[in-house]
Amino acid sequence: MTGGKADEERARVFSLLVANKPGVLFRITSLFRRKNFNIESVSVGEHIKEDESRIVIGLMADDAMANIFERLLRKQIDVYEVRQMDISRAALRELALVRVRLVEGNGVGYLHQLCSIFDYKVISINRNYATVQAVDVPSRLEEFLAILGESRVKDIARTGITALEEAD
Amino acid sequence: MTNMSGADAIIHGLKAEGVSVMFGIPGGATMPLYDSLKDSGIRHILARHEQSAAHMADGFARASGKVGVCSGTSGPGATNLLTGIATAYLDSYPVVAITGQVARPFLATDAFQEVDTVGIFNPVVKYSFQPLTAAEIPMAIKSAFYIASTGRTGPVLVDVPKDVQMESADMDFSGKVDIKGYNPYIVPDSMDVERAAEMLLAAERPVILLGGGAIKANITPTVLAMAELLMVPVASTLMGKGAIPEDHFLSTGPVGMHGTYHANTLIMESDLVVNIGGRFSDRTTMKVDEFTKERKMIQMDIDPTEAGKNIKNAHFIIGDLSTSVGMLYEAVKRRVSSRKETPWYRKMKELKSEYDGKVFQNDGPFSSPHIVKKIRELLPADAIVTTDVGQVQMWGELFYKVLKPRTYLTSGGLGTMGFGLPAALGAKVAKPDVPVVVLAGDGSFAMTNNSLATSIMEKIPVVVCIFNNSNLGMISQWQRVVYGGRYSASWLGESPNFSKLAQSYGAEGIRVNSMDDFEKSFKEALGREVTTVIDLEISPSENVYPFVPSGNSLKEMLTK
Repeated sequence: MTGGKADEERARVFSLLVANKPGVLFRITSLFRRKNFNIESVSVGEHIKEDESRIVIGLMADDAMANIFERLLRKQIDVYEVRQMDISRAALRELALVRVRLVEGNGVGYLHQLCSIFDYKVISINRNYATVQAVDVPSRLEEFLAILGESRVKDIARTGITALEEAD
Repeated sequence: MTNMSGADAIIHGLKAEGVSVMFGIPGGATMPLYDSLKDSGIRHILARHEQSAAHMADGFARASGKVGVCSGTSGPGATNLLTGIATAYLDSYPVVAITGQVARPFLATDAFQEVDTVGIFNPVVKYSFQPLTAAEIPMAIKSAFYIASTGRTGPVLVDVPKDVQMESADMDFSGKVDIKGYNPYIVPDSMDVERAAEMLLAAERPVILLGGGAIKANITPTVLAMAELLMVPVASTLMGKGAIPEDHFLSTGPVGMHGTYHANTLIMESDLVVNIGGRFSDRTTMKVDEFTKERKMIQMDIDPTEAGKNIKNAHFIIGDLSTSVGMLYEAVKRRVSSRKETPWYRKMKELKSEYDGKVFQNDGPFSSPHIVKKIRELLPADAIVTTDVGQVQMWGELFYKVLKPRTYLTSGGLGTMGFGLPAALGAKVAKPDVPVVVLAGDGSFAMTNNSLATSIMEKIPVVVCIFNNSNLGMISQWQRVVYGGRYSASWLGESPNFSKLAQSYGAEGIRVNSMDDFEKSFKEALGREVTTVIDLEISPSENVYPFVPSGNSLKEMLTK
């Protein structure tokens, strides 16, 4: 591959409509394995009809690679629709559950203030830990985690992004 | 609705698809299936290794245009099938593989002879089915044949747990196949075709390049009519060999790594390539930048995902070739009524008269190019030749002129050594009235020679010509030409004695080392009702030329 802007790796979001049945996700992820690519995030959920699922896959790829993946995806019988999303025209969110270590002095109050700024929610709490529910774009979520600091984050579960393109 | 077992439903489904023959080996997880097969009227051909069973089904499909069927048990039966199924996949031929699987309660427990067959086959099949209730079987079989035989054809797997084969259910065979997300019938865009016709007529030095798809689509008469109207040279890929008769005055033979000198030269001097049913594989284009430079490309294919895959700048026409090529011919006819000899045609004629059939490295009268030419001379036009993989395949590519579609069967995409003999047996089952000949290598033949037992027991006579240079010939050629004569693990030695090996199977076996002896024994073999193995003692120093080493452009052919 040569240089140039078009060839640079950038964030891609593939939105797929697929058959909702066993083995489909396996077939799809194995296509990325063929090129030894790491999928950064994948979210799967039932679509409007129960026999269909929406899969949203996020990864970093250049144009040529993204086109290879699009071609491989289209070839799959169980994949009904493939879109490379225009991220600037898409609603894009990630859900994270963050377990925060409460420290004496600036524990609960500080966390509440931070959450209200970010519009996140504390959904459970005990004397040692609080669990925060965050629904956000990944960059703001990263910011939240950075402010909290690594020592305060006990555990985290992230769904990876899901997205829907704006309707015209 | 009829109540029957899952195994009976498989057989019933196969018969409904018109299946008359199945190639395979039974095992623990296919006992119920084989019990149902016993009195079904479907002929079963017992292979001696599942890889060969898959090649037989593939050879049957290639020769007949129908779907080939093979079977293996769970675990090793399935993994052995894999190479043969991958071979069919890479060359896009329709095969349905039916595998046994461990009973449902044992799935994913590392039970005896359990592997994740669906998982292992995933990258080399068009689709796979694993019916988990017997009632799903009728639609699974029907869908498998539909997917295998439509669109870009290819292999499909049906993996059936043993207890599903034994389970009884009310079976409904009346359902119509409706697979959402699978629409193999794409109508070519007439604007795309009109534009292609204009490109073709504007070109001064066009070449038509026929790939394997041109054979599958049965478009020989249309291609010939169009080529003759425009006096355009017609080349092929290895897989497209025989899509038009290679003795036609416009045929140049194949292009590629071991293409003919004139075909490679012409395509690199052309200003337009009309690729019909080829995928611009790396072995065809060689250095792709050079291949696409300074010439336009039209690509016609049934598979929309081929657009832009290997070549970015092609004008793409999607759709079934029998439709799209017909439309292109009509569009051309509307614009031109007759065309005279062009300078480009004269150039082709000149090159062809100098290089057609030219033997660049002549190792005497009893050497491979001459033997291949002799085989062509002695065979009728409709005879079928299958090949192994390596030097012998390329001597075939260069010197065996194929006169009819589906009569030159070779593993082009996967390059599977050992393909020749089992594929020949499948082809002979499909076409029992034509002679079937294997161009075998001593290395390749050793990989599947136990198919001789199948040939004898099932009375499927073929003629095997082993081009025996006691070497992995193509490896030794590369080591000679590219690696400075450092031979590494390419010498096979003189074991076994192939004629005695053949005799021990009950076949005829003979070793020859002169053209006269070969001609005599080949003629006798053609008249025999039992398989003959002719072991041809050829020189280990023969090279296949022309040869375009990897990384070179088609212009940079080695000829000595």
